[in-house]
Amino acid sequence: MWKKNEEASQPGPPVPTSAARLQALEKASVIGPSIRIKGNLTGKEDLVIQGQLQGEVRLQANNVTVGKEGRIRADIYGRTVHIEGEVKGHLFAEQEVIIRASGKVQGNIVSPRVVLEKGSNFKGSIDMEPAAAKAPEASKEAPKEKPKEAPKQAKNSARATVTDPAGAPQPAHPIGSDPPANTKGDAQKSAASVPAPAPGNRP
Amino acid sequence: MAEKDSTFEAATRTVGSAGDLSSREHPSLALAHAIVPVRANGGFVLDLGPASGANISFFAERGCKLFIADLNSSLFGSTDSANRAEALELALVRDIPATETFDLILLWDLLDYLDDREIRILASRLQAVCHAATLLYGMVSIRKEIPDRPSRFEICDVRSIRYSPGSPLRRPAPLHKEPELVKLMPDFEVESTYLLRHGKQEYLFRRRRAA
Repeated sequence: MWKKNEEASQPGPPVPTSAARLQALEKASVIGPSIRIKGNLTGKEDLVIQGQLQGEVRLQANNVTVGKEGRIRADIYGRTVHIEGEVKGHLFAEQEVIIRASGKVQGNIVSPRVVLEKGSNFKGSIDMEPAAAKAPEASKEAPKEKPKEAPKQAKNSARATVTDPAGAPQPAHPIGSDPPANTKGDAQKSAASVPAPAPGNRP
Repeated sequence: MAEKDSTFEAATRTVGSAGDLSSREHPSLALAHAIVPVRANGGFVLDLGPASGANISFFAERGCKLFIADLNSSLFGSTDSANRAEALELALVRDIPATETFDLILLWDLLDYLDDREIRILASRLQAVCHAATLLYGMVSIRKEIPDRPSRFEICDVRSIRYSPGSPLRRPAPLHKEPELVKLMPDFEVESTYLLRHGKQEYLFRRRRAA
C-alpha cells in the first residue's frame, strides 16, 4: 500500500507516470528563477515555476510544478500540483498534490491524493474529500459542520486492513467496537473514564 | 525487570537500519480510545507533530480532516531554548487556526520537551480550540533518558505506533507525573492513562467541565 515515500491517497483518477510526467515537464512553460510576478496566472498549459510569484495560479486542467528555486505566495489550482520549492498558500488539485523532500508548504491542501516525501515540510490542513477538490472555493467558504450525532458504526472497510508489528496482515481493530482492554502485556494503570463506585453503593 | 524488557523487545520491531535513529513499532493502548470522538462521522484532528503520510491516511480513511501544526519544526529547529516560550506562543497563534475547534489533538511526546511555563502556554492555547468532547492524546517518558529531540510518530493501526527518534543524542527525561501535568494544564483533566512496557505513559486529557 505504501511507497517508500509517504503517501496518503484515496481512489481517484489515474495520475501520470513519472515518464509521462517528465515528457509533460519538457513541454511545460517555465517561469525562470530571475522572474518575479505579482498577480494572477491563468492558462491552459502545464507550468513550471522557478521564480517568485505572489497572487494566484489557476491552471485547473494542467500540471503545476513549483521548482526548487520557486518561492510562491499564492493559492495554486491545478490538475496535479508538485512542490519542490516553497509555497505559502493553499493547494487545490483535481488529481494529486506531491510535496517533494525539498518542498516546504504552509497552507491547506485539498486533493483526493496527497504524497509527502520524507523530509518535506508541511503545515496546514489536509482535506482529501474529492468533492471538496472539485469545488475548492465553495469548500473554503463553507462553514465547518461539527458532528452532532452519537457515534455510529464507523466507515471502516477493506482499506482498514493493516499489518501488525510482526508483519503478518490482520484485520484492524474494528473501529466501531470497543478498543482492546490490554495488548501485549501492557498494563492499564488507571482509567478515569470508569467511575469509582460511590461510597454508599459499595457492595 | 530483565524479563519484562525481553518481552518488550519481542513486542517491537526495528524498522530500517540498526542504530539510535532506527524506528520501532510499539503498542498503544490509548489511541483506540483517542479516536472515539472522530470515528463517528469523521472529525477534525489537530496534529502538533510533523506531517506523516501514514497519519494522513489513517485519518483520511476515517473521513477526518487533519490539520498539521508541526510545532517540532518551529520549536526545535533553529530556536534556542532561551527563546522557546516566545517561539511557542508565536507558533500557536500562527499555526493553529483560532476559529476552529478540534475533536482530537495529538500532542505525541511534546510534553517531555517543554518546561513548565511552556506547558502552561500550550494548554492555555489548546483549550481555546477544544469543545467539551475533545480529547488530547499525549505521552511522557517513564524512563530516565529520552532522545534529545521529539520523536516522529506514525500510526500503524489503532493498536500500534511507529516511533522514530528525533535525534541519536539522549537527554534526561523530565519524568512528569500525573498530578504535575494536571497542575500545569488546569483547563484539562486526565480522562485515562496507560502505562506501557516500552517506557511510555500515554495520556488522554479532556477539557475540564465548568464547575
